[in-house]
Amino acid sequence: MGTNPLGAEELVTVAVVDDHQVVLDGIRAWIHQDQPARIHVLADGGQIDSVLAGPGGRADVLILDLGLFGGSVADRVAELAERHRVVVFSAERSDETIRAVLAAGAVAYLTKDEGKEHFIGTVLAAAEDRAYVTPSVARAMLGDTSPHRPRLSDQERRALLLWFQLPKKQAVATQMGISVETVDQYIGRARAKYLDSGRQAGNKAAMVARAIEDGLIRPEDVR
Amino acid sequence: MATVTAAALARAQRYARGPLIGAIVVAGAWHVGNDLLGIATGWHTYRAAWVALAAWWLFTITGTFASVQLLRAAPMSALVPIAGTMVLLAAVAANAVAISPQQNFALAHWGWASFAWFAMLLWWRHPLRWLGAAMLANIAVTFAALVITRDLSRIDVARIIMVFYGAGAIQLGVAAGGKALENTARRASQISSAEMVLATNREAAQRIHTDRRRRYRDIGHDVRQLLAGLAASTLDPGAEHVQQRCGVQAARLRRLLAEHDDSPSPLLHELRACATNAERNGVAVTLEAVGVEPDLPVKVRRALCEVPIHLLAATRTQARLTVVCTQEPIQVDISVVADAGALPQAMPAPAEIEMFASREEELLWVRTRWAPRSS
Repeated sequence: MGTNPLGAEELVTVAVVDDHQVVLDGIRAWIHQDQPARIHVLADGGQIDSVLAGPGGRADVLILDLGLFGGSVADRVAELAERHRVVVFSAERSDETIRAVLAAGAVAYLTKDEGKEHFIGTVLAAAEDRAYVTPSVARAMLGDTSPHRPRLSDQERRALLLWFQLPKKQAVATQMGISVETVDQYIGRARAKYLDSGRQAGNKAAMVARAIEDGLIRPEDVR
Repeated sequence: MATVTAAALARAQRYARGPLIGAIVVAGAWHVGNDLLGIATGWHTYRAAWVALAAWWLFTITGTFASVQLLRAAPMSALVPIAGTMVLLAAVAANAVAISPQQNFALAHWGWASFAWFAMLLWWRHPLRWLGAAMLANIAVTFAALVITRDLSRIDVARIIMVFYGAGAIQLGVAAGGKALENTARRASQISSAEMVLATNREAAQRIHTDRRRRYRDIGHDVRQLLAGLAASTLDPGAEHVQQRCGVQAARLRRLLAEHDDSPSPLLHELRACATNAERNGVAVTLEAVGVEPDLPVKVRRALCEVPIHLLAATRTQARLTVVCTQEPIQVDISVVADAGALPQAMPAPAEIEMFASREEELLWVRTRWAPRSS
């Protein structure tokens, strides 16, 4: 992680790959508006390899658009996730794609309509190997009917459902009659179960370790 | 169509019962009136009367078993008629051996002539050629038994052939007639089933048509009232409640049109139509769905759309509409979060749908849930 101009706190560094300049500019604007500054863009551009060739290769988090110049780079996620914490930021919203990309090792998935609030939170969580569950990821988890899907508890499922339906965690907490922190725990635990049920790709091991450290899952739960 | 065929089959089997019962009664009456009488009257002439009586009982047991199975329409393994035929042939041979040489054509030698009645019952559900084969086996066994135990003259052989012909032709005729009747009954009942399906479809289409016309009339009535009010200036187009009424009616018309479309997810399709209408009124709507939509009756879909229609019409700038369908248990959960001023008072809550609303700061959240009554 880099340092901010005051040198007091470490900055999370990111590399951004998107083929639309307006998106790259938009992301820089969001990061710039985040005060105090917590994120620093090391490199950005439309080509994965050229962005990662320079300083971008050292970034804490790689923000990746799936649709580049008319083609999909979803099949490169697994390979990229071996060396980077990949956060997918895409206009593609299908549950299948979200589940496939997360299974391939992406740390998080943000759809482009999920906006600034989720963006900053997702990047900061990813840098710490923590899973940030966006409503679109909650939807993909709720819609999973594969036989290998993990068993969620009623509370975990309810938290995911409400997080999908309601715009704010506070509203979810109010509906469940619990604190926002507990809501986060339920959602985080559901995501950790997914991490554990998928194959151990990319940063998943680090994320599982973090989930254990955070008390979301127990070491003996890991298969 | 599978159920129709099954129903047709059941009806055909019912029609085919008549010839079957007839055949059982004839075989039973013949066995008592002819065979038992033959044993009783020729009791002292037999070489071994008890063998003839045992053969009679073998016939009785086999025939009764076959009749019960056929009348109960119980599934019968192909081994049953084969084993039954073996038993009958053994009884035929026993009867032929038990009679004295003078009784070849007497009533006491009843087995060979009665065989076909019982074989007909055993092979009732099989093609006629099997019954034919069993009858040939009867001829072979009878001949063998007679040839081994006595000398036969050429006249005897000619008479034996005549008896076989006379006895066999009747049973073959009855069996063939029964089959023909069954086939005709099956065809007739298939045709009548197809006609019933056609009539049902026609009736259903007529009802749907009438229902749509009625709904269109109802909605048209509300819309006309609204337009008349606006034209006569009794309604203020600037008033929020008038705008809401306009929004609701427009969404209902859109939904009614969407209801006619052929879509794999009709509910989502209709909700999308509602959302599109709200977007035209300047509301930013996100519509998200999870899961596979269960088959919902049109009535339920309509009811489920009512709450979003009313809430979206009252929404100022943005709304999030989510649909969650689950299979276990079967459930549809629709949620609308919107910056709507207040829960519209006129909003109906249909009986089969559970609804609850809550407010979180400026956002109103209304959730409706449907599950089939049985679950």
